[in-house]
Amino acid sequence: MASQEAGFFMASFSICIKAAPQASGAAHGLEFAKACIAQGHSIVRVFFYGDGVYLGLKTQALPQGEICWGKLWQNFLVDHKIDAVVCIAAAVRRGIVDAAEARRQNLDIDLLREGFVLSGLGQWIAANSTADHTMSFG
Amino acid sequence: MSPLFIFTETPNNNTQAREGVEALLACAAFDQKPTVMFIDQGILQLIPQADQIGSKNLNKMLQALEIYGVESIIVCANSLARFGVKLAELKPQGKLITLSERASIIQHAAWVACF
Repeated sequence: MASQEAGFFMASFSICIKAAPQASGAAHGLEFAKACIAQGHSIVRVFFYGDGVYLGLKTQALPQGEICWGKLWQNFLVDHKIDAVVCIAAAVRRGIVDAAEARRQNLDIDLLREGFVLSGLGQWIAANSTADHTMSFG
Repeated sequence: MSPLFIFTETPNNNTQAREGVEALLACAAFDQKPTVMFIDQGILQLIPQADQIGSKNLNKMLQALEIYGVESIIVCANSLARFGVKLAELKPQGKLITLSERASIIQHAAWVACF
Protein backbone atom coordinates (compact mmCIF):
# COMPACT_ATOMS: atom_id res chain seq x y z
CA MET A 1 0.00 0.00 0.00
CA ALA A 2 1.12 3.50 -0.82
CA SER A 3 0.69 4.74 2.73
CA GLN A 4 3.08 2.10 4.03
CA GLU A 5 5.72 2.74 1.41
CA ALA A 6 5.63 6.46 1.93
CA GLY A 7 6.27 6.02 5.63
CA PHE A 8 5.41 9.53 6.70
CA PHE A 9 1.70 8.73 6.59
CA MET A 10 2.17 6.36 9.46
CA ALA A 11 0.68 7.52 12.72
CA SER A 12 0.69 6.30 16.29
CA PHE A 13 -2.50 5.70 18.25
CA SER A 14 -3.46 5.58 21.90
CA ILE A 15 -6.64 3.54 22.30
CA CYS A 16 -8.93 3.50 25.31
CA ILE A 17 -11.65 0.87 25.69
CA LYS A 18 -14.42 1.72 28.14
CA ALA A 19 -17.01 -0.67 26.72
CA ALA A 20 -17.98 -3.90 28.47
CA PRO A 21 -17.13 -7.12 26.56
CA GLN A 22 -20.65 -7.55 25.18
CA ALA A 23 -21.09 -3.88 24.26
CA SER A 24 -20.42 -2.79 20.70
CA GLY A 25 -17.46 -0.59 21.69
CA ALA A 26 -15.38 -3.66 22.56
CA ALA A 27 -15.86 -5.03 19.05
CA HIS A 28 -15.51 -1.71 17.23
CA GLY A 29 -12.36 -0.91 19.20
CA LEU A 30 -10.81 -4.22 18.23
CA GLU A 31 -11.71 -3.78 14.57
CA PHE A 32 -10.22 -0.29 14.66
CA ALA A 33 -7.04 -1.53 16.32
CA LYS A 34 -6.70 -4.32 13.75
CA ALA A 35 -7.17 -1.81 10.92
CA CYS A 36 -4.46 0.42 12.42
CA ILE A 37 -1.94 -2.40 12.37
CA ALA A 38 -3.07 -3.66 8.95
CA GLN A 39 -2.40 -0.23 7.47
CA GLY A 40 1.04 0.06 9.02
CA HIS A 41 0.21 2.42 11.87
CA SER A 42 1.38 1.75 15.39
CA ILE A 43 -0.47 1.48 18.69
CA VAL A 44 1.34 3.02 21.65
CA ARG A 45 -0.92 1.36 24.18
CA VAL A 46 -4.43 0.03 24.68
CA PHE A 47 -5.83 1.19 27.98
CA PHE A 48 -8.85 -0.59 29.45
CA TYR A 49 -11.00 1.58 31.68
CA GLY A 50 -14.52 1.52 33.12
CA ASP A 51 -16.38 -1.67 32.20
CA GLY A 52 -13.69 -2.27 29.55
CA VAL A 53 -11.57 -3.85 32.30
CA TYR A 54 -13.76 -6.96 32.03
CA LEU A 55 -12.00 -7.68 28.72
CA GLY A 56 -8.95 -8.59 30.81
CA LEU A 57 -10.88 -11.01 33.04
CA LYS A 58 -9.84 -14.57 32.23
CA THR A 59 -12.65 -16.37 34.02
CA GLN A 60 -15.31 -15.19 31.62
CA ALA A 61 -16.79 -18.21 29.81
CA LEU A 62 -19.47 -17.72 27.18
CA PRO A 63 -22.10 -20.13 25.93
CA GLN A 64 -21.31 -21.90 22.68
CA GLY A 65 -21.83 -19.75 19.63
CA GLU A 66 -21.14 -16.49 21.42
CA ILE A 67 -17.96 -14.52 20.89
CA CYS A 68 -15.53 -13.98 23.75
CA TRP A 69 -14.22 -10.51 22.97
CA GLY A 70 -11.73 -10.64 25.81
CA LYS A 71 -10.09 -13.67 24.22
CA LEU A 72 -10.05 -11.99 20.79
CA TRP A 73 -8.50 -8.86 22.28
CA GLN A 74 -5.91 -11.01 24.05
CA ASN A 75 -4.99 -12.84 20.83
CA PHE A 76 -4.61 -9.57 18.98
CA LEU A 77 -2.58 -7.84 21.70
CA VAL A 78 -0.25 -10.80 22.21
CA ASP A 79 0.22 -11.47 18.48
CA HIS A 80 1.27 -7.87 17.87
CA LYS A 81 3.07 -7.40 21.20
CA ILE A 82 0.95 -4.36 22.02
CA ASP A 83 1.16 -2.87 25.49
CA ALA A 84 -2.18 -3.59 27.19
CA VAL A 85 -2.91 -1.87 30.48
CA VAL A 86 -5.97 -2.47 32.62
CA CYS A 87 -6.73 0.40 34.97
CA ILE A 88 -6.01 -0.90 38.46
CA ALA A 89 -8.59 1.28 40.20
CA ALA A 90 -11.37 0.38 37.77
CA ALA A 91 -10.39 -3.32 37.86
CA VAL A 92 -10.13 -3.74 41.60
CA ARG A 93 -13.48 -2.05 42.25
CA ARG A 94 -14.98 -4.66 39.90
CA GLY A 95 -13.18 -7.57 41.54
CA ILE A 96 -10.54 -8.13 38.86
CA VAL A 97 -7.13 -8.78 40.39
CA ASP A 98 -3.78 -10.02 39.15
CA ALA A 99 -1.57 -12.26 41.32
CA ALA A 100 0.14 -9.32 43.06
CA GLU A 101 -3.09 -7.49 43.85
CA ALA A 102 -4.68 -10.74 45.04
CA ARG A 103 -1.78 -11.30 47.45
CA ARG A 104 -2.45 -7.88 48.95
CA GLN A 105 -5.98 -9.11 49.63
CA ASN A 106 -4.65 -12.44 51.02
CA LEU A 107 -6.04 -14.39 48.08
CA ASP A 108 -4.25 -16.97 45.99
CA ILE A 109 -5.76 -16.18 42.60
CA ASP A 110 -4.89 -14.41 39.37
CA LEU A 111 -7.86 -13.30 37.29
CA LEU A 112 -6.03 -11.26 34.68
CA ARG A 113 -5.50 -12.60 31.17
CA GLU A 114 -1.93 -13.11 30.08
CA GLY A 115 -0.73 -10.16 28.00
CA PHE A 116 -2.58 -7.63 30.15
CA VAL A 117 -1.06 -5.74 33.08
CA LEU A 118 -2.69 -3.80 35.89
CA SER A 119 -1.47 -0.23 36.19
CA GLY A 120 -2.62 3.31 36.83
CA LEU A 121 -4.31 6.06 34.86
CA GLY A 122 -0.90 7.66 34.38
CA GLN A 123 -0.23 5.03 31.70
CA TRP A 124 -3.22 6.30 29.75
CA ILE A 125 -2.23 9.96 30.15
CA ALA A 126 1.33 9.17 29.05
CA ALA A 127 0.13 7.24 25.99
CA ASN A 128 -2.20 10.09 25.00
CA SER A 129 0.64 12.58 25.28
CA THR A 130 2.95 10.41 23.18
CA ALA A 131 0.57 9.26 20.44
CA ASP A 132 -0.42 11.26 17.36
CA HIS A 133 -4.06 10.34 17.89
CA THR A 134 -6.22 9.38 20.86
CA MET A 135 -9.23 7.15 20.29
CA SER A 136 -11.74 5.85 22.77
CA PHE A 137 -14.54 3.33 22.46
CA GLY A 138 -17.54 2.87 24.70
CA MET B 1 -2.72 22.70 23.63
CA SER B 2 -4.17 20.93 26.63
CA PRO B 3 -6.26 17.76 27.05
CA LEU B 4 -10.04 18.17 27.04
CA PHE B 5 -12.44 16.11 29.13
CA ILE B 6 -16.09 16.18 28.10
CA PHE B 7 -18.61 15.05 30.70
CA THR B 8 -22.01 14.05 29.34
CA GLU B 9 -23.45 11.70 31.97
CA THR B 10 -25.82 12.19 34.87
CA PRO B 11 -24.01 12.09 38.23
CA ASN B 12 -25.45 8.93 39.78
CA ASN B 13 -26.61 6.75 36.90
CA ASN B 14 -23.54 4.52 36.83
CA THR B 15 -19.82 4.75 37.53
CA GLN B 16 -19.03 6.58 34.28
CA ALA B 17 -19.26 10.10 35.72
CA ARG B 18 -17.16 9.14 38.73
CA GLU B 19 -14.51 7.40 36.63
CA GLY B 20 -14.42 10.43 34.37
CA VAL B 21 -13.63 12.66 37.35
CA GLU B 22 -10.94 10.21 38.51
CA ALA B 23 -9.34 10.27 35.05
CA LEU B 24 -9.52 14.07 35.01
CA LEU B 25 -7.83 14.31 38.41
CA ALA B 26 -5.11 11.88 37.29
CA CYS B 27 -4.51 14.04 34.24
CA ALA B 28 -4.23 17.17 36.41
CA ALA B 29 -1.87 15.32 38.76
CA PHE B 30 0.47 14.78 35.80
CA ASP B 31 0.52 18.53 35.29
CA GLN B 32 -1.30 18.41 31.96
CA LYS B 33 -3.56 21.38 32.73
CA PRO B 34 -6.74 19.73 31.45
CA THR B 35 -9.90 21.59 30.51
CA VAL B 36 -13.24 20.09 31.49
CA MET B 37 -16.42 20.72 29.53
CA PHE B 38 -19.89 19.88 30.81
CA ILE B 39 -22.49 19.28 28.12
CA ASP B 40 -25.92 17.66 27.75
CA GLN B 41 -26.92 15.76 30.91
CA GLY B 42 -23.36 16.27 32.17
CA ILE B 43 -24.33 19.74 33.43
CA LEU B 44 -26.42 17.99 36.11
CA GLN B 45 -23.16 16.94 37.76
CA LEU B 46 -22.63 20.61 38.65
CA ILE B 47 -25.83 20.93 40.68
CA PRO B 48 -25.05 20.47 44.40
CA GLN B 49 -26.56 17.18 45.51
CA ALA B 50 -27.54 15.55 48.75
CA ASP B 51 -25.23 12.69 49.73
CA GLN B 52 -26.33 9.45 48.08
CA ILE B 53 -26.45 6.30 50.14
CA GLY B 54 -23.33 4.25 49.61
CA SER B 55 -21.42 6.56 47.32
CA LYS B 56 -19.20 9.58 47.63
CA ASN B 57 -20.76 12.89 46.67
CA LEU B 58 -19.56 13.54 43.13
CA ASN B 59 -20.44 17.23 43.20
CA LYS B 60 -18.21 17.77 46.23
CA MET B 61 -15.32 16.28 44.24
CA LEU B 62 -16.11 18.69 41.41
CA GLN B 63 -16.12 21.63 43.81
CA ALA B 64 -12.53 20.73 44.68
CA LEU B 65 -11.32 20.61 41.06
CA GLU B 66 -9.49 23.92 41.28
CA ILE B 67 -7.46 22.71 44.26
CA TYR B 68 -6.33 19.75 42.15
CA GLY B 69 -5.17 21.96 39.28
CA VAL B 70 -8.22 21.87 37.00
CA GLU B 71 -8.66 25.56 36.44
CA SER B 72 -10.51 25.60 33.16
CA ILE B 73 -14.13 24.55 33.69
CA ILE B 74 -16.59 25.28 30.91
CA VAL B 75 -20.33 24.76 30.63
CA CYS B 76 -22.48 24.62 27.50
CA ALA B 77 -25.12 27.38 27.61
CA ASN B 78 -27.44 25.42 25.30
CA SER B 79 -27.41 22.43 27.64
CA LEU B 80 -28.22 24.66 30.63
CA ALA B 81 -31.14 26.18 28.74
CA ARG B 82 -32.39 22.74 27.70
CA PHE B 83 -32.57 21.61 31.32
CA GLY B 84 -33.84 24.97 32.61
CA VAL B 85 -30.84 25.36 34.89
CA LYS B 86 -29.29 28.74 35.70
CA LEU B 87 -25.54 29.30 35.95
CA ALA B 88 -26.01 30.61 39.51
CA GLU B 89 -27.33 27.18 40.56
CA LEU B 90 -24.08 25.48 39.61
CA LYS B 91 -21.13 24.67 41.80
CA PRO B 92 -18.48 25.13 40.55
CA GLN B 93 -19.93 27.68 38.13
CA GLY B 94 -17.50 27.50 35.24
CA LYS B 95 -17.47 29.61 32.12
CA LEU B 96 -20.46 29.63 29.77
CA ILE B 97 -19.83 28.80 26.12
CA THR B 98 -22.00 28.65 23.01
CA LEU B 99 -22.32 25.72 20.61
CA SER B 100 -19.90 27.21 18.11
CA GLU B 101 -17.30 27.86 20.80
CA ARG B 102 -17.76 24.28 21.89
CA ALA B 103 -16.72 23.03 18.44
CA SER B 104 -13.64 25.22 18.35
CA ILE B 105 -12.52 24.14 21.82
CA ILE B 106 -12.76 20.48 20.80
CA GLN B 107 -10.84 21.24 17.62
CA HIS B 108 -7.99 22.89 19.51
CA ALA B 109 -7.54 20.28 22.25
CA ALA B 110 -4.38 18.16 22.40
CA TRP B 111 -6.65 15.13 22.85
CA VAL B 112 -10.22 14.55 23.94
CA ALA B 113 -11.73 12.11 26.41
CA CYS B 114 -15.48 11.70 26.77
CA PHE B 115 -17.19 10.36 29.86
